[in-house]
Amino acid sequence: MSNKGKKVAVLNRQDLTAFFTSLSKRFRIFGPSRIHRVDSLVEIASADAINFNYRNMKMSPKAFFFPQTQTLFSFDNESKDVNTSEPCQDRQRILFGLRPCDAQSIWLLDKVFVENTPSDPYYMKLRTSTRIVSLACTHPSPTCFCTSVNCGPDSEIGADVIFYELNGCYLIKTLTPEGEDVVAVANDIVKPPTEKELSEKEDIMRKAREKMKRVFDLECAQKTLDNFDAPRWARLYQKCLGCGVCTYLCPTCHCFDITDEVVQPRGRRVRTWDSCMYQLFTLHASGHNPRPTQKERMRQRIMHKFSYARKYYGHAFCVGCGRCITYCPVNVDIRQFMKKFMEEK
Amino acid sequence: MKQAEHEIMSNVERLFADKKIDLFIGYEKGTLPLRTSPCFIDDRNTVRRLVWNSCCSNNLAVYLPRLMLHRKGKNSKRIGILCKGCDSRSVVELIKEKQVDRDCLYIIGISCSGIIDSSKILSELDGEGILSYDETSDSIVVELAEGERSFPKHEYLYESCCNCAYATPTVYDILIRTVQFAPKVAGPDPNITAFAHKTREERWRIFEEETSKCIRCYACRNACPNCYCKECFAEQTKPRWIGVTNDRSDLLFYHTMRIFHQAGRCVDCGACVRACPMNINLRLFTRVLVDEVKERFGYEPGVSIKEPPPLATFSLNDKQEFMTEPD
Amino acid sequence: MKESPNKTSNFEPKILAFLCNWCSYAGADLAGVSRFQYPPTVRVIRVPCSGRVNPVYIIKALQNGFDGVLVSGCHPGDCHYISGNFFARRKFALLKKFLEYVGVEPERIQFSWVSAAEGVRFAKIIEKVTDDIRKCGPLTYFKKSNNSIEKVI
Repeated sequence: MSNKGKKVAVLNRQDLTAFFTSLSKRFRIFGPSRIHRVDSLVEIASADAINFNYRNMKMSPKAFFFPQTQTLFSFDNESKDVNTSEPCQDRQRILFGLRPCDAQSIWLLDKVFVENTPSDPYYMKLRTSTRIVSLACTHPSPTCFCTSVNCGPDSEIGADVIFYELNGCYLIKTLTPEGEDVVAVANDIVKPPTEKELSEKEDIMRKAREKMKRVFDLECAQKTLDNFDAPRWARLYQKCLGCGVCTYLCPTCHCFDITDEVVQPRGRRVRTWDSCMYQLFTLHASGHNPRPTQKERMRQRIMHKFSYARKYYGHAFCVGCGRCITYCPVNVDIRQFMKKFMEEK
Repeated sequence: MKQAEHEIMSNVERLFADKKIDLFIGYEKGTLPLRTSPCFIDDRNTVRRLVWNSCCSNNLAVYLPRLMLHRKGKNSKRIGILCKGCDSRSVVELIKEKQVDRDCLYIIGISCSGIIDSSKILSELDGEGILSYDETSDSIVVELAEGERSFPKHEYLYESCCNCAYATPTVYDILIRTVQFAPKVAGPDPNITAFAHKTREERWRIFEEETSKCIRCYACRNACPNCYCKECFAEQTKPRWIGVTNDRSDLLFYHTMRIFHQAGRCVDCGACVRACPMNINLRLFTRVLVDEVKERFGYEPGVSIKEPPPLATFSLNDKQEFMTEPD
Repeated sequence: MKESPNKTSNFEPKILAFLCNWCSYAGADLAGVSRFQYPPTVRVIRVPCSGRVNPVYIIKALQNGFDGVLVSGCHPGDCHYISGNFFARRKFALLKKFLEYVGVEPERIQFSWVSAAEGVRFAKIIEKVTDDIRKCGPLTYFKKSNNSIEKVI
């Protein structure tokens, strides 16, 4: 990781509380906290609420930009009023402690919601008012596979600032101008890193990367991934229940449904999460369903993430967080699929 | 365990050799510690993939409606399936509701003394990597970096297994008996009894709190063998009964009705609870219907193929103490 | 939930009644024609048989702002469709138990048998149901708010 042009500073562990206090004057801070044995990103009042020892959160951070339910506009048939209710943010937010895979997932979601023309105003409003401070990984979960999808335990993509946890202190690297905004708050309590601290960080990350070896190679798997009619697809889908948990927990899945909810005389148009794994997802009004069985749906999900996305956006829509593997009720494992694809010549 | 595995494998091989089945549904080793995964075998050469252990949690009956649906009549596929007690009861209900043709099924029943809740063990280990694991007759032994740890099975069972009265399947073509590691304590679930004794306001508060975690992913519905409707009421648009958002009122509606749709049909297998990513304690609410149907109509789902489902029949003498009479 | 402080004063409940066409609806009609007084809290939906009533309608009614629901059918043995009310009896026994278990006041959902000749009985039942639901207070929890605001995070 080149440090050229990127400001690096060190914050002592005991100064973390002061850092947060200064930040909270300008920002609402969300950090990882363990509640009822589940790690979630919640609004925190002080640094003491943060649990630095977590692997990853169950819910991905996409809900902070693309919520499960979002009112697009509301209308009143009596007063003939239409209100576009873009989410209002009275203060800017910081998402603190995201893992680099989750930070990279936001960069991927930006490709869909921001870089397309026109960009999505609801997403934009939430995105432009949020700073991402990620926390580099040192202990992967058994289900992590970030290095196999062009991500890594210290990936800088998508984050404004990245924290590395060292012995007794944090190494902070500012990655974007927005990140400078965040770190500037702590200008009087951070100090430049020493050679020892820099090499400690390199050492820690080298060990982390060793624990996270690549388990599959997307290039090798490409032949099957690009083959719509490969016989392989007929064997993979059988155990899938079509329950949708993988899509809802996935940090980069972004399919949605738009419905009107009307209780006369008022109503609203809402956008909610939807899943390509559901039977009704592609049901046409005529009754025809181009993806009638789980085979077509499973094929579509994998090809969308690993084939079409690479062609369209230049990057697979997967960051290797492993949530789909951990929470799948029937233990469908994408790594296993990729390995099988790689076997095909 | 190993002996049961061998029995399963040899039975399945024989079934394929005698051309009695076209497809067998069982369990194979999972890719994660303490997990297994449903396995579809259509060729006797891959029978060796099958496993049997205390982590075989999935209710395999969920796959039957979709397999049987397209295949009726003389040329139907014949399907073999491995059934624990709860799975066999789901199969009985599916047969009664005509979703599955009994003649197309070959059921290998296996007696079960309960399935381990791997998430309980994993959360105790708090992310500690499991290098390997094994099981003895009464414990799960995991190997960690710093040594071994042993977990007594009867303390780490799924809640639905703790008070299960059906260690032996209620329907099968062949039964494989396994060693029971602890005597079963069949009876009312203490959590349910405790809930029922709370005040009304407290019960509502808990119901609302649990359902507010829901993200409308429908995993509970898709994992349930009884939920085989082509179009679920929650997704119907003509008319739209229920909104699709996570609005508090819609969450209450969805859960109330999905659970009520299981009245007299739910076999308490726990598949819904296992599938839910948000750890909603659905059994706290589903169980009451199982108990009430037993008390009021003397009916237990999944026990007898001949007994009609309680809501598809009636008695002239049904109790009606709940009806309103004028003062 | 908190009991509304106004529950016994000005609150008049809104009650939805599913009345079976052959018996209860006719009984209600008889009450009207005979000028038997009963509280004007009831909105009626006529159904062919009490067995036609899907529990989804009852929950939907609560969601849409009703404070209580009444389902009324023919007396057992007198169903126009022979056995519809027998199935209804089983279904509603379970529904009532389930709703009570999760914490809904049992008085909010009520079931009755009223025959076509029982105008007085119908009026008395409406009085009782109205009274019971008035004591429970307005239903706030199931109700879908018109201006629902999703959690802003």
